[in-house]
Amino acid sequence: MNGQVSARAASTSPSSPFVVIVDDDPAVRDSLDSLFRSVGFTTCLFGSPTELLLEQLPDVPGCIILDVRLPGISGLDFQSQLIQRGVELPIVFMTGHGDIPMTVRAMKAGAVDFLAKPFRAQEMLDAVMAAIQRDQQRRSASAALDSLRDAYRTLTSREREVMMHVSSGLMNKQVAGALGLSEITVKIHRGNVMRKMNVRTLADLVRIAEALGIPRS
Amino acid sequence: MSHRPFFNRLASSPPAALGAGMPRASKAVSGMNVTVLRLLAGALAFGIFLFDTLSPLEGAVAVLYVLVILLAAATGRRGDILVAAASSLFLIVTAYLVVHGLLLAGAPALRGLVSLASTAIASLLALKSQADTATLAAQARLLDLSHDMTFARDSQGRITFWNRAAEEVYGWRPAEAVGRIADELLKTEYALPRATINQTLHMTGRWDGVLVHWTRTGERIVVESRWALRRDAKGWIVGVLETNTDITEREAAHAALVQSERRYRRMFKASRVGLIEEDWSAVRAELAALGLNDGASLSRYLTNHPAFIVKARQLARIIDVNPAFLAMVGVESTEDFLRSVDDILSEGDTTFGSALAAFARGDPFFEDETEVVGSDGRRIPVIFALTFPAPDDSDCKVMVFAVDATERRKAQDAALQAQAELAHAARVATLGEFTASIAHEVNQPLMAVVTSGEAALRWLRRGQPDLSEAGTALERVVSEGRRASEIVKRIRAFLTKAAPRSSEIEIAGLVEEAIQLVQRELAREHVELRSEVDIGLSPVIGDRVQLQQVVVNLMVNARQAMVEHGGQRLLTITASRISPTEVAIAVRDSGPGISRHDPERLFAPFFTTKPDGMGMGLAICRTIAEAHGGRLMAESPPDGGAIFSLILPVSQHGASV
Repeated sequence: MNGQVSARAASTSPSSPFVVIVDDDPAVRDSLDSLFRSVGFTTCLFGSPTELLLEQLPDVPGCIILDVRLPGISGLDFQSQLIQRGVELPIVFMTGHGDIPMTVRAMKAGAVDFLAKPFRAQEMLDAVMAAIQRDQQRRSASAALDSLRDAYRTLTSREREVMMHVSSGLMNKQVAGALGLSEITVKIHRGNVMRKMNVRTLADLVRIAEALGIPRS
Repeated sequence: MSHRPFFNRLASSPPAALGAGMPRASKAVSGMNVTVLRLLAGALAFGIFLFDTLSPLEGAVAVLYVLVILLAAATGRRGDILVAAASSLFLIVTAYLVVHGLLLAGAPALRGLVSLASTAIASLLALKSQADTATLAAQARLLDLSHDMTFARDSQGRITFWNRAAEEVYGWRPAEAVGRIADELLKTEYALPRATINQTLHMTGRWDGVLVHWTRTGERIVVESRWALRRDAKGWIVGVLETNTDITEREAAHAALVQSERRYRRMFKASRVGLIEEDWSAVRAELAALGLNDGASLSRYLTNHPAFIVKARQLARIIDVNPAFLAMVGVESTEDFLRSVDDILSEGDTTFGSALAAFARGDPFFEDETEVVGSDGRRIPVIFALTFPAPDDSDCKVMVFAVDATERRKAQDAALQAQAELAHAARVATLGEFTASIAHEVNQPLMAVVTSGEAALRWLRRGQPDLSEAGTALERVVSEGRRASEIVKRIRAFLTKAAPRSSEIEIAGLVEEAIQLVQRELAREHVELRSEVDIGLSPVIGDRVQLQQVVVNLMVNARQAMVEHGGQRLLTITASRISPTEVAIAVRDSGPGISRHDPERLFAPFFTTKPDGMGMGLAICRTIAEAHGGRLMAESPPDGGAIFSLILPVSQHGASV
């Protein structure tokens, strides 16, 4: 509607948590901006979702604050568009009264919180803190998985086969039978897998296989 | 012989002496009669002479010459009398000389002298009488020339003279009338007792009044009668001279006039329409003094000189008012009311100037509505009509017909009230359709206020308070607080239940306010809004809220049509002047358009396309448009969508700019 682009670059340290604020009302936008900066957050302001999609967001923990009734596109549609594009920032929705069906849909789609306007600042700050914390957890979880993937990538194809069968719960003899190898050879491969994947016990290996989504034999 | 009255006539003073019938004698005795009389007189004289001369009888036969003189006198000619007198005297002397010679004998001589003397005396009397008769005849001829019916009657009431007009009008010839009792002949009808009339007559010698006479043919005639008492030289009453003027027609005309006047008076009195008679002669004089001949320049003058209108109001005097009007204004008697028009017109009156212009133009008629002030200061709405006299009518009376419009006004007010309430209900329903948008619109600034306030507190409570940031946040608190109150005010104004108020409204402002009410709702439904309002549009006169309601309603309808239709959603609102006296506010959508069968059906009450709609929106909008002297129209342009146009007359003031 008023279409003015008002992205604000991070003004505090680059690693401080950032909040993306999307609202068509400049006054609402500015008041939220002021609130978050007063507690030391970095802010990014957008007048409409489309402006946000054009922007490259910093790769630090953060969250998006979004009005469900935005001009041009509904907040929920926008949420699914973000997910499609791999933007995994948690979303805190703001809404007027009486939007219960919308609230339910948003929560199902992964919204962190839902605040009815006008809300207390502390509620908003708490919701945003929770969202950012969740983003941090998501980020560290995804970082751990990344290192497992790197380790998995160092395995030979024979070692991956052995890992699949072992994590599926097969005995060395059974693995040897299934792969047409000697039991000794299976043992060697298994030792390599355990070393490369940096695990000591079979239970750990099974957990990693699950995290990596390795299918069972 | 009709000349007999000659002898009846007494030597009384003219004109009372007139009418003795004698003048006819001189006329009647003419031609053959004169000759006969002369021959008779001659023969008589000769016979007397022979008898006197030849008869042995000793006596005063010569005295009989008096008869000769009388015969001669009967011709009414002075010459005849003189000839008869001379002949008679000569014959008396001759006869004496023949019989007695020059001898003067005692007795015969004395008889001769007596005869001479009597003849001479008779001649002298006849001459005097002839002279009087000639005078009277001249006067009687004058009476015959008169158109008035004149007759004389003696003390017994018998007609003694009857003039030509009497003959012509009443139908009896003089010979038939003379001698008859006048009252019997004419069947005189008196309005007063005869005794009263006689009393007046004897006391003053005159009477006049109106009588009714019947003619010979049985026709009733009304006469104006003047009576004069006739007295002789000694003052004895001898009769009455009566002169009558036929006023039958005049009387009839007058009676008709009186009747007509009574009829109109009755209408004036009994009419339930208030009537006022006013004298505008002073107004006319004042207008004439201006010397403005054509209506246009006069109208202009009146517009620029309101003082003149006030003055004219004071100059228009009220002459009469009828009971209906008195009752209307609550005044007891007519006398309390004979003032100027200025006293009864309310000060806010705007019609008198127009009436004045119509009067000056020579219009026969003017009608309008205004308010008059009652005796208790109450203002009474009236519908009135003025009828003006023709410009060349010296009688400058203006009749005013006034009907008390209080009841009508009440009914109108009630209708307006009902319409206003319906319009209000429709406004509530219209806004009800987008309560969610409204809630959002109110919440936005409220949220900005609360959040900015908390932000300001946080900036202040920092270890190192940031006053600049806090100040900015607080400024926002103030401005957003104002904004919230503006929004609430706008919505409350739209939902007001106050009676419609007429004021001058700028089109651009009207359109802008309507847009503000619906723009969020349009945005929510992703409707693109374009607004094209021409610059410098003349204002319109009307109720702001109701006109805004029409525009809002049209926009809401347009939105709905497009949302249901799918496809492009473009709403265009334009405002432009379409004629010197009209502006149009048009709302165009890109929806499915209007059914071609019956676009008028849209405006019918209870017509709706919404499942939960009342169908009153457009019907009410049209009522509002018409109440403002405008129209509301729908059309489907060939390139799609629908256009609803609200057409309003521009205010008079604005039109002249």
